[in-house]
Amino acid sequence: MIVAAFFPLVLLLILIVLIYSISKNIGKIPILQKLKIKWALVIYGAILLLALLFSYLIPAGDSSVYPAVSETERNEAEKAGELLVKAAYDRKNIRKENIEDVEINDQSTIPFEGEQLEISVEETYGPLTVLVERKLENDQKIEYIEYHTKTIIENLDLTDEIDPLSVSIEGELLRVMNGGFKDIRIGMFDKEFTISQFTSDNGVELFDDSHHVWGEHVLFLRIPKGVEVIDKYEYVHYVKE
Amino acid sequence: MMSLTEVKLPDIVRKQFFYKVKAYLSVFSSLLVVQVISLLLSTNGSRMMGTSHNGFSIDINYYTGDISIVLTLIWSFITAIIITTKAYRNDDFVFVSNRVSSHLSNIVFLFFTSVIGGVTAVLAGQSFKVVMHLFLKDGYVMGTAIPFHELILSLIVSVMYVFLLAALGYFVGMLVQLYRWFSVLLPTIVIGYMIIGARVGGEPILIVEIFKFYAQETVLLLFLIKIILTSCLLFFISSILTNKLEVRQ
Repeated sequence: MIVAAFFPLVLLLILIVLIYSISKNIGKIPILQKLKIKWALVIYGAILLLALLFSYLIPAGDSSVYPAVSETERNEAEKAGELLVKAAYDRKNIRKENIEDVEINDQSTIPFEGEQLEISVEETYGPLTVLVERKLENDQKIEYIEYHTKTIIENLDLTDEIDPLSVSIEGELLRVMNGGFKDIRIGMFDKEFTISQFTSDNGVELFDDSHHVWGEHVLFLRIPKGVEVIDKYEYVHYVKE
Repeated sequence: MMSLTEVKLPDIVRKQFFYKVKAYLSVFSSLLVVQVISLLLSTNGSRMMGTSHNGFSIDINYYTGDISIVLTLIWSFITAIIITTKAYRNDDFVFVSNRVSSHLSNIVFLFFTSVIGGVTAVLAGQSFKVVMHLFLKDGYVMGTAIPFHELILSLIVSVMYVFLLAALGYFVGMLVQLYRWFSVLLPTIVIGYMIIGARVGGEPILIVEIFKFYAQETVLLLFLIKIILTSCLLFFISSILTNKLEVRQ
């Protein structure tokens, strides 16, 4: 803990000592003595200028892999997530609510002839709310719809990277789990602090937080009339009649 | 034999400045080495962000020219200290000069090195991004290229930061020349304060406030005024301090 706290300070001191040693002894380095310093500086300057020109020629812009979104869209996704969860907790019928920016990630129908249904929510991408609507008839089918909102990390929309929930029936057990493990690594070119100081609201942040909005997921189940739901961990909310 | 030629202050300063540019060329070669090191250090990313939810993990490496600028700031601070040392100060007496001309030529020289340092630091950051663009694997993403007006902004701000650190280095250097024990006392105070501040209050408040004063100023004009006034103040105090030094001490 203490080592971690003082690591930046130690690193800074090492850098200061290193730069001081370089500055003090640069003239004594044999290779640099032989090298024409003037020419080395001219060549270095030329390389920097050429790189600057080249930087405006390369195809820069948005990711070729993940769609980029604006800060406004990120805020809207966050708001949509809040509205989706609130609607689920208020036991509203999400199918009929049409909440903006809430999309269907997956939907299907599973045959079910049992009289009891135990719901087991295993590893999921995040907090999951299960909303149950009882059908008016017993058609021996369970319909499920997975509603979700966008997952946005920084300015990248990673919603499509999150696989739909895996929903399966084993006897009278409904198992809900995530679709698979994902490990994403991204490299991002960012603006220097000398720019962001004047383009962000608060200047340079000493402890810069990244901006991310994790998508909310609500599993909407339509179960046949008369089926008893067993929910040991209280994941389930019932749609108001 | 007395000289009958009247020498004007601006002429002396100009001559001393050009002399220093030629004589202190090694300052720029150390800048070159420092910036090359900074580019190597930048390849791991200036900062990283990692987060995960159940079964989903994401790591983002941010590539910027920040390390290049920060190392150039340290270089500027150290360079300013070095030119206050006795060996460098004696160079001024190659010419007919006084303390005022010596200080003025030093300030002009430090501003010149700040311009070179600040500009090359920003350009080194850009060249780093070009190189990384060529080497990054699939799945990595390219951020938006810096618009031209932001590049100019970055150059100006970078130069000003480098100049501020040069002024601070000059002040510290002069202080140490005047009172030798400051060479031990100053680092002890600064490092000790950072350690005690970090352990007691979570962060060294004074240093955080100084950081906020400059780095959280979002109006460019106010930022420039702050930097210029602080630098002038530091140079002014440095020149007053050295009045106590004997000639050629």
